[in-house]
Amino acid sequence: MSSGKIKIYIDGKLIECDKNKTILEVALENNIEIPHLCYDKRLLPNGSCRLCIVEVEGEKRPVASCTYPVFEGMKVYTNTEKIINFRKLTLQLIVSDHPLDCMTCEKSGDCLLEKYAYEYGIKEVKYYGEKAKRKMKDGSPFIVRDYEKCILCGRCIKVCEEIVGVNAIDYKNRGFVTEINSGFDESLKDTECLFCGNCIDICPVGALREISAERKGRDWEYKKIKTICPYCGVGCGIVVYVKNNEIVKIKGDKESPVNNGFLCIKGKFGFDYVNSKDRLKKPLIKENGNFKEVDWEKAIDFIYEKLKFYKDNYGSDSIAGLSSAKCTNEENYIFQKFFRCVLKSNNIDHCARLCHSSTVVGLSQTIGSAAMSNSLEEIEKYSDCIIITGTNITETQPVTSYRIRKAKERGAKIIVIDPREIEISKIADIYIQPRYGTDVVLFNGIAKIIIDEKLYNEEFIKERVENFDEYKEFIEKFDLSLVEKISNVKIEDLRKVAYLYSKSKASVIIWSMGITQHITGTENVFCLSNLALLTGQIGKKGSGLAPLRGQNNVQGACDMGCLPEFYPGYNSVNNRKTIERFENLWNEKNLPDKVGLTVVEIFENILKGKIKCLYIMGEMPLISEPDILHIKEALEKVEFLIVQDILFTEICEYADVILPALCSFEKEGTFTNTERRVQKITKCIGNFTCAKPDWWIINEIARKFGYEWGYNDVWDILKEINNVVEIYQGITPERVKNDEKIQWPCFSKEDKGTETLHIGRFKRGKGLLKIVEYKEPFELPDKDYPFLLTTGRILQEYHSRTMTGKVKGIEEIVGEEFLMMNEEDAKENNIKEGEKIKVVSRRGEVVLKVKLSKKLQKGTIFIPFHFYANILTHTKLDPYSKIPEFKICSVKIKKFEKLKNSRIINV
Amino acid sequence: MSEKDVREIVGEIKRKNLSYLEILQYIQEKYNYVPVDLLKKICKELEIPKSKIFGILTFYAQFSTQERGKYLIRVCDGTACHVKGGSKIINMLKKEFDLEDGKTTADKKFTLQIVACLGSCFMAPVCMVNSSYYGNMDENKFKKILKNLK
Repeated sequence: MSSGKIKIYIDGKLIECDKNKTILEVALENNIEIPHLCYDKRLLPNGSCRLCIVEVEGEKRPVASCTYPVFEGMKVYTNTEKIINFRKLTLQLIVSDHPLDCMTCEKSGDCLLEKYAYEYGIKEVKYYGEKAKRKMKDGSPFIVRDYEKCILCGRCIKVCEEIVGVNAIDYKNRGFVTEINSGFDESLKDTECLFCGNCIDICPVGALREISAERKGRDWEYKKIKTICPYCGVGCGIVVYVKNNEIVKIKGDKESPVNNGFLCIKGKFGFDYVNSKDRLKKPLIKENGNFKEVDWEKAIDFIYEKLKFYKDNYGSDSIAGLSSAKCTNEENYIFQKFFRCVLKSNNIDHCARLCHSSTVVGLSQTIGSAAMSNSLEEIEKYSDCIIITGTNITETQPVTSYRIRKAKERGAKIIVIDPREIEISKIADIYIQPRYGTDVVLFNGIAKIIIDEKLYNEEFIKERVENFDEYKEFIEKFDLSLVEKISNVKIEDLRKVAYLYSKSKASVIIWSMGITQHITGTENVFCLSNLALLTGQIGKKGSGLAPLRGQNNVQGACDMGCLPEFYPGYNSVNNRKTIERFENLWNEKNLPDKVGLTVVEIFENILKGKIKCLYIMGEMPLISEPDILHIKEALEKVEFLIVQDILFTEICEYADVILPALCSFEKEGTFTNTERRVQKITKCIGNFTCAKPDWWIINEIARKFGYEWGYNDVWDILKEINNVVEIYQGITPERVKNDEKIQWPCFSKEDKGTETLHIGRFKRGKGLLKIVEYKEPFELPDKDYPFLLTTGRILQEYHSRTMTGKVKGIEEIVGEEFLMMNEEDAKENNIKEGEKIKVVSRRGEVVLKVKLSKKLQKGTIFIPFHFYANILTHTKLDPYSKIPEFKICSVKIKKFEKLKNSRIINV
Repeated sequence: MSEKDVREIVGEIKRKNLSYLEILQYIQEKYNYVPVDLLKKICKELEIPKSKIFGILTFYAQFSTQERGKYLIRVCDGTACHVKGGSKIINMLKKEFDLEDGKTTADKKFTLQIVACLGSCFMAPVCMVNSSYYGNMDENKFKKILKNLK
């Protein structure tokens, strides 16, 4: 599309506008109201409602402004008598086929038809006759489909097709009997529907509604509060509808630059846990095996005594803490500060270790900064070649996958490299299915082609890259035939990837756990970084390296230094300057300067008897760590365990003291999303139990130790962060509260933040090319354990299911815990769909229901890690980053005699 | 429909790279109607969204999801044909063959579809049997034609 400005007149007003727009787009941008029902600026227009008609000079008849492009000198009239009469007629016709029960309609006050009927003075029905009999459809745990109210505008169909890419609904029949149908009149549950609920949010009338909100209140009765979704790293903006201190429904925030108002099932419907009966209400102390409710003073005294005892008698290294990527930046900051200042221990880590630690280590070494280099919007609008590798993006970051679809629609080339034939591969221009754990060979192969066929960017390398000659020498010796032998990928396909990636104007590589959770995790990341450095595909709009972060605030928890090797802002622990700086900033002496223990090491050291105290804030390692049985043993063994959480989770059983915390709807603070965007969370409801925000709890414990840090609220902590963490300097409480959503680095109050990283210069100076040799995964299938087990996530569940497990509708949709296996393997082993089988590894065994799949390679089994897959995985770590190899281990399967409940066996 | 049938049809659809509309036409040609269970299986195999194909299936009057007779009779009861005696033909079909709109005879020989226009009003009343047109009909002539069909 070429861009250029033209001049048009709307109602006599001269407007300068883009020539690629439609009349309606230009009008709305200039605050000229034209009524419309089927049009939404985020969807392609289809001109079906005929309400947006306008007169254009020279046209005999009125035209639909949503589909009519502007042209130079065009004269448009939006409000002539003729147009108004036509609109009245259209509204009359719609209203004549619409139930007039506005007085009991849930949508009243927020209904576009009601609004326009009001504005155009439609008081009564003029056209009597038969009304369309569209029945209320049932069968969904979340969505009410009241099709009597449907005006057939098609927005729901379009959002499902264009944005989500699912096509769960379409028109049925034609003419008077047309209706929206999920295909063969089936219940939504039996269709491809993902229950993202975007159809509800986009419905202009009351035809689609949230079951949770039925009869709960009218639009004007709700407090509508903007905050951030608590689930994944996308950080979608949400609007929370609250009445009588209860969250009734959630809608996407259309003004959010992150999600443009679109959500997934978890963000839209996954809030039942807030009022779960398992919410912790009072501090609990275990006495003789039973938990006893105590007040805060007693709980904090108790913790103080214990921590002091262990610190004095066994030293600071006997204490470790797991912070939480679910908590705010402020809470993570104070957590690590408490450990470092008060307990003098660097044994702090969190779940980032288990997801992107290899990315952090890998990219820190090669380019100096590990965060996603581009914004999500850049990928949608500017990337011409998108490599998606090791990330099942439609399930792990659904809202980001909507953007990939948009990019594809724009003409970007999509390359998917994944051993599982994941959903997004359907829209791939090139799909490559390598063997598990052979990424290094595959990416070295691409690099080899790039070098051999001179696809590299000489100028970029000369200016910004080091170690090229050595790397070139190494890669020239690389035997390309290994790619076919080891990865089972055709060289021809690889060549296509190499050309597309290097020749496109802006290429980006997107990855997550499929790359990182290997014993070669860091080396896999080196390989990706090599490709970007060789071709100069980094440091431009839409071009770079994009590790997708998992948790809502995992980026922030890392930035805040909840890592054993870094003080806040990625300042290395074992650097004298760091220690001096922080001793100065915190007015503290003898800060710990030795790298602490990582997550898996903490548990190992508990078993060795070296760690005696563990403080867990908002994590549930009994699902998320590798080799769970071994974690269980450690939790049993640890002498003093503090668990601070919003819910009574499985680890609470092992705790000596449990501290009740507030969830993100009940407190304030900031989350940093996958694209480094720092966003404010807002208190939506009050919690009238004894639960407190995490920062308050830690602050109180610190005070008991005699530390007065002077925090009156979270914003005091953010002020300190502005002072301490360079990249957050300009992200002040005032700007955050003003709803600015700034991407770090942001160095001053005037700085607008940074959308694209690495422009002109890398943080470490020059980019470093790394020589990487292929290593086999630690545990491959053999005679005794012939299957390869791989793990991952599913769309509906979130990690340890502490939150999603409390959502009734999600439980209903997901059903029983399952595994996936290849159809052929099933046949060979005489296993049928729905049957329960036992999966056994050298560590443990689980019993799960079988789902058959064609998308898996023969000889592999996939278990979503929510379903106790980690009973089976091993604890061998990547030597650089200490990330476990969750993605590959070997298992065998056994037929299983029916037992009542698999979950009992599993844990 | 056996699994083998499904496999064969799926193979054929893939080989010919048929569009959704063509898939429906192909199935209807093969079975004389569109068996819904078969169509669902094909959707599953080919990962076609059910809503899309169902939308097309229900949009066009040419598709039938009911099993149809060997001969599909279409009688026009549009304005011109009605005036010229189309309804008499319909009455005859009811009396002689026990046929009503959308119904199939017990021996699966005939299916009746009453339509609003066949685009040949100049020779009203018009009937069709499968793809052949019969113009200037009356009940006796048409009865004879049908009786002569094997």
